[in-house]
Amino acid sequence: MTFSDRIKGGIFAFDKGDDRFELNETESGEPPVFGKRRPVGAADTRADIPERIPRSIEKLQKELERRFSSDVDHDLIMRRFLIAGRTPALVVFMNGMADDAKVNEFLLRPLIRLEGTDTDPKALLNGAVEIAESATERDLSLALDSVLGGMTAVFIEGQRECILSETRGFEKRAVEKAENEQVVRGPKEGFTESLRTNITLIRRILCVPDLVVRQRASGGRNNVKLAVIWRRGVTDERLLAEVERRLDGVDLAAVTSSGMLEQMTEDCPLSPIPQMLSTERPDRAALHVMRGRVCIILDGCPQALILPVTFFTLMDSPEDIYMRRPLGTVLRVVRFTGAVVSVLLPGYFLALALYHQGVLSTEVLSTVIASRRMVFEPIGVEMLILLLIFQMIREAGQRVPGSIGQAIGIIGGLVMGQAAVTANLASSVVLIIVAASGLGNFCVPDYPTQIAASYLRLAIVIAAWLGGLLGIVAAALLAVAHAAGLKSFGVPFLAPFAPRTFRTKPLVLRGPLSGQAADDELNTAYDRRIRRREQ
Amino acid sequence: MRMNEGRIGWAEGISVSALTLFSCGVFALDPSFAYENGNLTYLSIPLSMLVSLLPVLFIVGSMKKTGSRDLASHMRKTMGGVLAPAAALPLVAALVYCAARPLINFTEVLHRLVYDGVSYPAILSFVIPVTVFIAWKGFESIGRLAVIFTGFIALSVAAAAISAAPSFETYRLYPLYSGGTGSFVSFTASETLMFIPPLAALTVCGSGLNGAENAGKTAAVSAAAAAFAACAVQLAIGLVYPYRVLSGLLMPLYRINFLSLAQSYALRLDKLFIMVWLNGAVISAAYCIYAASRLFAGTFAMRDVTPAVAALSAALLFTVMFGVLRDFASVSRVDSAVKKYGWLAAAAPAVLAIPRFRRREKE
Repeated sequence: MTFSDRIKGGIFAFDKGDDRFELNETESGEPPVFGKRRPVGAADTRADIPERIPRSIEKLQKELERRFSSDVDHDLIMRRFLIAGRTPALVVFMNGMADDAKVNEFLLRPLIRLEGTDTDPKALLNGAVEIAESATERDLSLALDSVLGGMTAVFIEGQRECILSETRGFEKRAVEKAENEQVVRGPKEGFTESLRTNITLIRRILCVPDLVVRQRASGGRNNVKLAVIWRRGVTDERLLAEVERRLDGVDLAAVTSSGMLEQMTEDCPLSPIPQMLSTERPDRAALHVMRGRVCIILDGCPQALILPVTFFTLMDSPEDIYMRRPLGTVLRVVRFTGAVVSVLLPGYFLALALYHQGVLSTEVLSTVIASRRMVFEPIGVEMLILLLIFQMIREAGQRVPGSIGQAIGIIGGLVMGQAAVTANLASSVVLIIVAASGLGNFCVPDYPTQIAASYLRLAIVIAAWLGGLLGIVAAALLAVAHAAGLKSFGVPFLAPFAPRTFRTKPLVLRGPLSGQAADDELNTAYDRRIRRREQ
Repeated sequence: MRMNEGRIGWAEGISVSALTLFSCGVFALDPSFAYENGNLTYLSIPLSMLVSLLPVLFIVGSMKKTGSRDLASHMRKTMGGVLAPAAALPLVAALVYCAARPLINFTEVLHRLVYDGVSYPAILSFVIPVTVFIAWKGFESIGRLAVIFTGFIALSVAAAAISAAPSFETYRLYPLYSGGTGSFVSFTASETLMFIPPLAALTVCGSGLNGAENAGKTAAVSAAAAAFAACAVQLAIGLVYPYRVLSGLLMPLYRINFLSLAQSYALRLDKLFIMVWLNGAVISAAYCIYAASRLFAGTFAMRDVTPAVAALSAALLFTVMFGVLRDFASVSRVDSAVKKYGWLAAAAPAVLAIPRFRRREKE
């Protein structure tokens, strides 16, 4: 061993290089200060006991009529027929959810016209049913769940099994542009409300055999399904186990949006900082899955959840890698600068104007004084009011339809701003500071992160008003300390910067496209293989 | 168990430890004592840091023999459940003092030079809650914060020192030390005792650093890094101010800014610099408070570190308030008391561990 090796291995190497920080919480964690522990395993208790299918079609039909309130609700279609002209059977599907033509053409007709005597569901599946995606099912509850999802069930007299066929044919939105994550260059299509379509959109981009899509219950009592998507052999198995454990803990009356899932499964639901990435772009989701992250798509929701994420993931935009490296680098530098300006500029200006005038030159100071000569409210109040108005304009612009929303933005930005200055309600300098800060906020690509940044900006403004630069330091330290302690599914939120990892690509600047195939902080199996080979 | 410890890597460990040593060696210096007989702080302080490493490495060696991952369990193993808490209390007190010392100086500077006339409690109302919050968040957060801010602090310190370069004069280093070798050794020895508690804190958080051996390595690297940085900064200060001026200056590194930065419109960064350095002091203080709480909870077999954090934060507040509200002479008296008797803090665990250490050696 050479001297340099001894130095490297002796002083700078630690016992456990790979486990320098915990990637996954494998236990339910410490009891929080407020509230109870997150319940675990509440969602799948119903599925533990299978419900047998009655052998008698008569009895089964009565049971279904009772369960689905067929006396008042006629959406459940139940049609009795004879298989091969002899054996009574019952075909069950949900009106509007299943495609009638498919049921008639490929299920009913072949079964009625069947020649033969074997009515075993498996034999029928092989010899009569003309729908490729078909299977047998012994559990009545699961069969009815599938019917509710748009599949068709065929129950046969004397059999404990039924045939389930894929006949979904409900109306759905076509694949359209991703509205909230638009890019100039790159794919345009976005997720839809259909789980099947969304999975297909990802599969079309990731044509790899190790891509795994596992459909499971979302945990809501409305029986909506979700898909967990990952790459076998790349994604950390402990991460997957943690995802499944947390999803098992979801127990809600209804899950209708990925936002609800996010709140129920994230590490710190009270934090304003998002701990998962919500995206409506299949290309973005596919890229993260390829790098070793897990994607969750909820049926009926056009946004996918990506996890785990770090601060730098949230600051990524899909366009970064679609542009050439120098352009991508400039875009990223502008974005990070915008974010810093957005958070710190109003507070910093307030601190200098109120407490540390000596830092400003005489010219700047006299400009500020001149612009505020006729403004009646204190500068802190003025700043807070303008920030509030900015937030209001933004909210209003988002809630009203497109063209009117744009008009509100223009009216708010130009007319109200100009009018406020003319009426001496606001000074032009403060107005410019707030506008610059608002623009910087829009540079943050992720919407929940934008909102978190605007809350932080407000906190820093108040802290600066109360204590000048000392207040800013206090507020910023509190925020960074909170972020430093935050984890997304066990991965430190500020990784790979704090804690440092083996990542070699730059964080703020855009790195080369080639190089690390997976993010090091994810501790993917891919990385472990590479490292072992290097050692 | 809620020890809020987690695990951190070498970068975080070295950053937090070096930052604490640097804060104690540069921002928490008592100028009337340090520059009493001349200026050799650029040698004595780095030397003190390196010498203070020896007892810590001894403790680490002892911990390795007993197979302990942190100092609290080591003390309980070697001394038992009754003696260990008693032996830990001096180190806990020393850590609280090490947390308070830079904060006292910063509060004084903010009161005198940044917020003219603003009361001490008003300044402390911003500083102490943040320190407590960071200490409460635990070792992982402290380590990560240290990694984030070390770069900024190093840059700002370097900028302050380099900006004063036109004012450097070598003659200001003379006389090297009028008190003679004995005085130099005495000063170095007394300063050494100020650096032992922050370094020993690494052994307290040994399990968070993946074991005693890593704690020892972190201590070695961080002491070397902090010694280098302190040497450079003290040398720059010595080249700018003669020792008679220095003995009356509180936080001379901040005063350096006035020499050049205040003259330039573009570089009025003195107030920004002190705020950046304050971050370092706050993180160091949080680290010391956390380590003290961890030791306290560990030796008293408490399963939750947060009550100890709350109690020691109150002690920190009291110490800082005492330091800033009484005249500075009393702080100097406390300083000299710690320097005279502070060795008891680190010596107790080390000395009481010797029998165990020797027994294992024989085996």
